[in-house]
Amino acid sequence: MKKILGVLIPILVGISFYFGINTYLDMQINQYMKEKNIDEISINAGDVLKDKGTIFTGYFVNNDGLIIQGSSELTANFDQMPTKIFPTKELSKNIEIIGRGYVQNLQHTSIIGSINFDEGINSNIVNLQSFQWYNTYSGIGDKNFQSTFSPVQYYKYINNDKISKSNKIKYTKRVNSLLHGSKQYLPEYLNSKIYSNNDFISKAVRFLLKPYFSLREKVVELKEKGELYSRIKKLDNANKPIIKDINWEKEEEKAEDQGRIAITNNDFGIIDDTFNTIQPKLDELKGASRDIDYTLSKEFEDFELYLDTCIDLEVKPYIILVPTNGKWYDFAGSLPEEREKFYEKAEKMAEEKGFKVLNLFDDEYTEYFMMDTQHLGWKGWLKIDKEINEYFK
Amino acid sequence: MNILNDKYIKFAIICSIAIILAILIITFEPFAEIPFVYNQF
Repeated sequence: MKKILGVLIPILVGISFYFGINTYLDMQINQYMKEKNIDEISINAGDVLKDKGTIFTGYFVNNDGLIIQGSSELTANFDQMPTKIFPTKELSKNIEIIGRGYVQNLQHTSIIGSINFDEGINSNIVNLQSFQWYNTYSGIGDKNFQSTFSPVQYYKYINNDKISKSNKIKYTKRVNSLLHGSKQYLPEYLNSKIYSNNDFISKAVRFLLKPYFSLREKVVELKEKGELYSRIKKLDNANKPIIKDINWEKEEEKAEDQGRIAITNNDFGIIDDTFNTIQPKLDELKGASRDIDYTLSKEFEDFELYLDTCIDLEVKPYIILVPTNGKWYDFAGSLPEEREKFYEKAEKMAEEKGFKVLNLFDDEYTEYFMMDTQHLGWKGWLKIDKEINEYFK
Repeated sequence: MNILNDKYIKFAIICSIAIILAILIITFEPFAEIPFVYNQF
């Protein structure tokens, strides 16, 4: 009897402690999310709590926030960034930006699929599609994907009742192909490998490893709560948001002036510092993008999965096709008509599935629209701000 | 005192403390991040 108690007591203590700390963290996080100035996290591009978490973004979008999904362009710091323009008189929502370099469609699919959307929350999302995501036939590279991958999002996606089995199978297959060789994410590599297989061995492995995967899922969920709790408890208390009355014409002039000051040493429309680093490589980069058919990239399959996941979740992101720097890409050997095919295909794919699309291809040559070869600049961000302001008001 | 002399009780207490510590470490240890270098070229 004593022997049994010696084993049973630690198990019971462990289970009780797990449930206790879980409940405590849930309560504290809920309270802090209401009280604290969470803007410090929501406007911080590349924050791990958003890129790799689920709770923060879920709370934000379900509480009338507007999330903007993108990639490296969100790490810029212009006066025209949506995080500095909103909330406005017309659109009083707070903004959360999600993304950094290499956060592309598959990662955005994981993020969106891991959220439990409240009833009626269906359009508080903007998705910025970058042309550069599509410039390799294989889409996102495995190492780049692994640097953004999140196990907690993965488990929440495959356990999300709203997402169809066929989309979960597509998702796990794609994740599996990109986690190959990762030691850190070996459990999710195995899980995604056996998820869709129905042969005897996969079924047996699935059965035998079920307790392990359940434990792993609980561990990563608890870890997310611990990290979120540790961060938000240190934040200052929230202030009343400042609603801005934007004079768009004046902002346009300001954007033009700021662009003119920053770009003085080249005709490509690239900021001076960046051009200085590119200049020695110009011969090497000339014609480097020749003969690429952007419509054949595997990134399109990831984009389709993103859209299909949104359909399952009954959410309708506003899709914005961000242009690239036309002058630079001409120099790099890419023909405008070839680039246009990409925009047409992406627009058609999204519109046929019922999504609203803003196609900015026509702004490829607009001055100060971009800051370098591929990232949005002063006028580019301002145009997106205006469109968001109009679309969501 | 007599209870603590019991080797099974001792085992249960030590294991319980170890489990609690393990849960706390798991909870508050930051996400493991794979370093990445972003290069637009």
